[in-house]
Amino acid sequence: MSDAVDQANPGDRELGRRLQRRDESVVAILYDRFGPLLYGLALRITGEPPDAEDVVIEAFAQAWRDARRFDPARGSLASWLVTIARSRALDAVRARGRRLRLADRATEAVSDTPPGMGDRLPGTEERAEGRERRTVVREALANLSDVQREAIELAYFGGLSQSEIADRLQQPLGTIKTRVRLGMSRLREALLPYHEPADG
Amino acid sequence: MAEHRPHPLADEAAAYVLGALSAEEAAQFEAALAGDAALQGEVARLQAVTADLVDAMSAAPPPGLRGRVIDRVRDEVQRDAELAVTRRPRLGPILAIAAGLAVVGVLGFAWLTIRRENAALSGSVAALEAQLEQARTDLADNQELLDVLLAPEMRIDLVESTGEARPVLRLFRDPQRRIAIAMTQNLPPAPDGRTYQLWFIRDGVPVPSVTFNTASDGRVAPIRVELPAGDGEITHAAVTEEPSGGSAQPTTTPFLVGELTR
Repeated sequence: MSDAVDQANPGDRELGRRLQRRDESVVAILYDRFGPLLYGLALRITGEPPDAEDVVIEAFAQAWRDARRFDPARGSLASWLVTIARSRALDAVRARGRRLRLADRATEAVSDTPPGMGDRLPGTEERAEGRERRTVVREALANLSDVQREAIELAYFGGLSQSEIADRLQQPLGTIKTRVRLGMSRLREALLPYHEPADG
Repeated sequence: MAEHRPHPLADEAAAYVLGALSAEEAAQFEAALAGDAALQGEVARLQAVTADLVDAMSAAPPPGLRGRVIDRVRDEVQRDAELAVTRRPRLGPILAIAAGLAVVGVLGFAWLTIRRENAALSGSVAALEAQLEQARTDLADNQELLDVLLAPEMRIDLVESTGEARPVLRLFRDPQRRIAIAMTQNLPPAPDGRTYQLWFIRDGVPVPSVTFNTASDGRVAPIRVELPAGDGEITHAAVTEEPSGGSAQPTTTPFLVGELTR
């Protein structure tokens, strides 16, 4: 997933191999490494801790079943797990017929989430750089225009397509596309100092 | 610095990494992506942004979740084992039907049936392929086990206790390839919710290795173990009892300890 995560976890490739070899002991390691990432995402999407817990459990079960589909050449282990967890979280919310609520939740401003979200990982050896980076991400998100942030959050955390966002906000599709692109572009510029080396 | 002129598919790229394209749009975009290095670069950069968004959401999970995740995966392991037993292709009925068709000789009927059987055979072929894949994996595992046992440099280490029942763990170790095979004797299964964990002691510090459990006869199927990578001399191996899923640091005193032969 992010460079911060990858650099902190040099053994991603080996962990992927162990998962594919059906080495059961790797599950605890993966959980310790990626549990907060997946749980935070699931919580953001479902809004309910019990739902988020179920999502994390089922995401790991799916990762175990589909281990052979993980291809390190196509992305990191973290991003593969995040894709699984996001999909399960969106499924869980949709299955419960709370799509409207899902979309509502998605637009709760990230900057409004509990003060100092970096503090939400008590007891982990979160590196200073990671903490700083999370702060920068949250600030960058808060600095977007409201309509850009709304479009990005409805898409990623709300699971809506651009057309669905346009319908929901009663805006032309082209307007939504522009908001998404410009919002992502501004986030990218704000995070450039963290991404530049990886971009090569 | 990044280029300032946006890629013609920049709108789609931003929506793609956010999962906001419909399935059809996503398929079209991926087709374009495959042959466009500039677009691939754009997507990679945007994916890093999405990754950061998710990372910023990280939250400490409740303490009980770890155990539930491990238990859930264990259910999958058991289900796999049961499937492996029941997933035998049923060729008998298919052959009987084929023979019956030859006798009846009604071509139209035969054609319909063959179509149906073709589907059944496809299912059988898929099952056979799955079995073949499993057999290949098993064979590779066994070959590796043999390679270790037959390695000229092979070392045998005894990791044992001083107690009466004398549980013992035997390590067949190939120092060249840094692989070992572990087997146990007289080691009763760990209690519910607990597991055994192997440790290597490097420069006096325990390095976690595999977790395992034994059958009621005190034995465990040969376990493949990778020796810890990195510098430092590995002097001992030890076994502790740990919570399911294992630990990063020993939480109990090792009950089996053995010095590794040089």
